[in-house]
Amino acid sequence: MPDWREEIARRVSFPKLDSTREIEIIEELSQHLEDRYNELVSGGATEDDARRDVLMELNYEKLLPQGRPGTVHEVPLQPVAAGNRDPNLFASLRQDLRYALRQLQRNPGFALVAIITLAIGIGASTAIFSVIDNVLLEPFPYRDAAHIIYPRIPWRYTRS
Amino acid sequence: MTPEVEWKKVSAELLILSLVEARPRHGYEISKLIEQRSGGAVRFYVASLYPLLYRLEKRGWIQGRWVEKSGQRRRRYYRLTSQGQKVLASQRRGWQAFVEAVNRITEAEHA
Repeated sequence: MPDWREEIARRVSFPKLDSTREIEIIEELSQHLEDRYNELVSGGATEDDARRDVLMELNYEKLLPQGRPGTVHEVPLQPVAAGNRDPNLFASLRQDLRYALRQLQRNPGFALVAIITLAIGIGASTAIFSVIDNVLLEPFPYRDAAHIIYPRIPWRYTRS
Repeated sequence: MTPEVEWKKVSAELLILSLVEARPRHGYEISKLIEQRSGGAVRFYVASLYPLLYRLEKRGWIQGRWVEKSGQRRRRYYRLTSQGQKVLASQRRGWQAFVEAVNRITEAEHA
């Protein structure tokens, strides 16, 4: 079963809507798509065909004129060839960030674990780097510590 | 707005308002009823149905409410408001007058 919420979030943007309303709309649309998908599959369509038909229904036309409060509109997906940069990089980044925030909001437990894990990881990395920097890289608190040398005289020259 | 667009817009609103008149219905049920009762001639896709529902709700003609029934996932049911009832009655009269006028124009002339 495809993840309809993800498909909707990728294809549809919700200008001027608060996150609660946006989540409700995604839930409502995903239920509709799921019902339609199940209907097509139970009617004999293959899962791939059913998925394609359902997504086509979602993209059938522009959802609504842009800018009208409380409405939704379609975000056209632009394929990016391998090696090419996304021409709409910042819009894509913003969309990714909003999607990530929505996911975190939906799973607060997972969000907390992820944040704690990141905090511990960053903290541990910083601590280890501080130790290595002080012990191995910059061990002495003198100017140009790297130029300080440790002279040794091989034992064979000390023998008379 | 061209007359054709206006005509389609009003007829789409009339369909939705009529279907939620007797009892509240959810979006998928509304789309299936439109398809079934029209014999497949009229279909509302997700991309056109829900924006229309939200627009009617914003105007206060219908009201959506999440309903959770035992053993089922929650669904958003739309019911007709008192303001919507007045609009529906008005649109029905207008539609009836329009259809009758078209019939009078297009009916075959008998010599």
